[in-house]
Amino acid sequence: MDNLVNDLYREFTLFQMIGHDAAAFVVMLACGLAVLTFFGFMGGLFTFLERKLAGWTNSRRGPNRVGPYGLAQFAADGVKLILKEDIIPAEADRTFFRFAPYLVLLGTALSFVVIPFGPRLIISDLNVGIFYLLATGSFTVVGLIMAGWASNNKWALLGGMRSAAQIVSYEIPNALAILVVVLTAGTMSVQGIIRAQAGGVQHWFLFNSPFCILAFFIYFTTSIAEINRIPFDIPEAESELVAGYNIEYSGMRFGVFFVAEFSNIYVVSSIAVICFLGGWQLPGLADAEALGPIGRKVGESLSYPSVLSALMIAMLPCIWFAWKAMRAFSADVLRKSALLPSRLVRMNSELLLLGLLAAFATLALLLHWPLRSRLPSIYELVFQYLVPFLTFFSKAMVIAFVILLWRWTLPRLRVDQLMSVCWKYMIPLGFVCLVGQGFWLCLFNP
Amino acid sequence: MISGNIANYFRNIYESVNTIATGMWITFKTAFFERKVTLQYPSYDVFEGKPKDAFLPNGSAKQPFELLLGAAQNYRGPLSRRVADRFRGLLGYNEPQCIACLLCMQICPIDVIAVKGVRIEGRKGKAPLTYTIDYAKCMFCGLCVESCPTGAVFFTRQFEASTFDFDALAKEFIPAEVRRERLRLSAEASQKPEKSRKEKKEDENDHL
Repeated sequence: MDNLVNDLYREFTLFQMIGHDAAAFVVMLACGLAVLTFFGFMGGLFTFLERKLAGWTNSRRGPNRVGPYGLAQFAADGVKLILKEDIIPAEADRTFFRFAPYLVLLGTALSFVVIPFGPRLIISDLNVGIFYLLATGSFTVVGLIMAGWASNNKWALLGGMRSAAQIVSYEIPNALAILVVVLTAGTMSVQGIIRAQAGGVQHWFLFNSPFCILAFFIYFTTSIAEINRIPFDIPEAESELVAGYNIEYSGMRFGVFFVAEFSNIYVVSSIAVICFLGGWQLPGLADAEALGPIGRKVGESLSYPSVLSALMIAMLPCIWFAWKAMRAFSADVLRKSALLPSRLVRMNSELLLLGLLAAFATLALLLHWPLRSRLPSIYELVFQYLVPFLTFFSKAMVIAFVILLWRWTLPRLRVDQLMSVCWKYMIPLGFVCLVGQGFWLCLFNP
Repeated sequence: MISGNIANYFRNIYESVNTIATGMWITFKTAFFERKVTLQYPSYDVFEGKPKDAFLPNGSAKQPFELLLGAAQNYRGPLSRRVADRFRGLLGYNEPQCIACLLCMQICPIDVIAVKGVRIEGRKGKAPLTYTIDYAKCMFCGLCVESCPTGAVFFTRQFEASTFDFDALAKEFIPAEVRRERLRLSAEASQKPEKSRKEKKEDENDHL
């Protein structure tokens, strides 16, 4: 964070004009907004993916009516939730009832502070990063208990208590599995752990030792329990507790729980990626040296003007195509629905055209903008920002995909089974991993 | 028995991992390699059994994943993708065949059908004056279809009967002008000095 603020302060006269503290504040605000946007987007994306996957596993199609391939479904869901009435039970503790969803949201949103998207794309690389992630992960339990208690409802309270028992229990093997990684990397900083896995797939901590593989599976299982997902969704067991801690919530307050729960999937899968799957490291490609001198030369010869003009030329047919598609789509909407006035639809297509042209004009302007030398070159932009981001994101999505698929595979555990899985199996295995990895490191690693 | 317990412990772990892996493989297979059974009904022609409008943005029969994996054609599921030929849909009525014998009306357990008929010249049996089917009541038991001697009342494959107007579900099949015409014809016939059956017989005897 400090580095980012200092860099921007040094580079931009605008920041120097408003002073260092104000600049820091602006940067923080921008980072917060970026995180929240990403957070909401991920929550929405996962609700969509979950429904789609639910359909696919049942040989159905899943949502495909709103937008292309149903991608706008989560926006429609969000609008619906916002428009719903927000009911607070008469006997509920109003303050806590209102506060609880945001606490849950906060617990998840805070994790995004140390989740990296690339070697330089991280809000703050804390030196206790992974420890911080564990702490924020358990932060949500406060919100869940608060929601359960403030609802003044037996089922909600039971759900809250269950979630507390579950999350607190599963925290232990979860932390043990992560400790194995910390032991191996020798650091708790997230970027440090990722950098310790540089140099190819065989250096990922997943393949470091048999104990690491075991630790990965322990982490994976317990993290699902941490985010209250099937098969560990005892806190919201429909058959026993109706809906658990969020039974009394409606409208957007319920939506906030929902978004937090689904963004949590991304958080835990990205922790798995950080700890075991090499983070943003793409074997070979991410490190510049692997490309060889020619690749480097080609990469560095790409200047902003040349790339931008290529983009502009590529954009022209895209604009035409998008406009045509929009017209076709609007005609179709008109045919199907009497609700939308034709004027509105035509206006939308024209707005789209205007927006695309505006983007085109922006690119054209950028072409002649006096760029500062400190801005990353195209080469850097691609290989130090874009490729690592895509690598990290796709790794995390693979893990998240498995988490989503679990839901449609496994039945829910009973409460006593849940506890015995944790205390009788996960925790002893976690200790075995930790001690075993210690010996392994002593014996085989210098 | 400690050793037995320990063996049990590891067997538990092994079995849980094994069963989870099996289950995951099954869901994975189903999700990505099996044809979707959903008929996207309004944009899919269930009578013809093919997509109605290929240009609907989301109405096309195939999804990108299916196209990618080429698995769409491998489906050998139990579901027919079109409405069956002998589907018991809404009742249909073929006026020229009707002899207004009232069998359908009499056999109907819930008075869905109301028929009235008159004799007119040049038509076999009676001609229906009114033939009303109240689709709101019909339970598709098929007794009328079975009892109809001429096949005038039959099942169609049509099933889209939703309406905003409840009364519109009671459908009259004989247009008003046809009914008026038939009433006129039958009235004319009755005004003529109609030969009784006895007279008819005598006529025939005369011929002989």
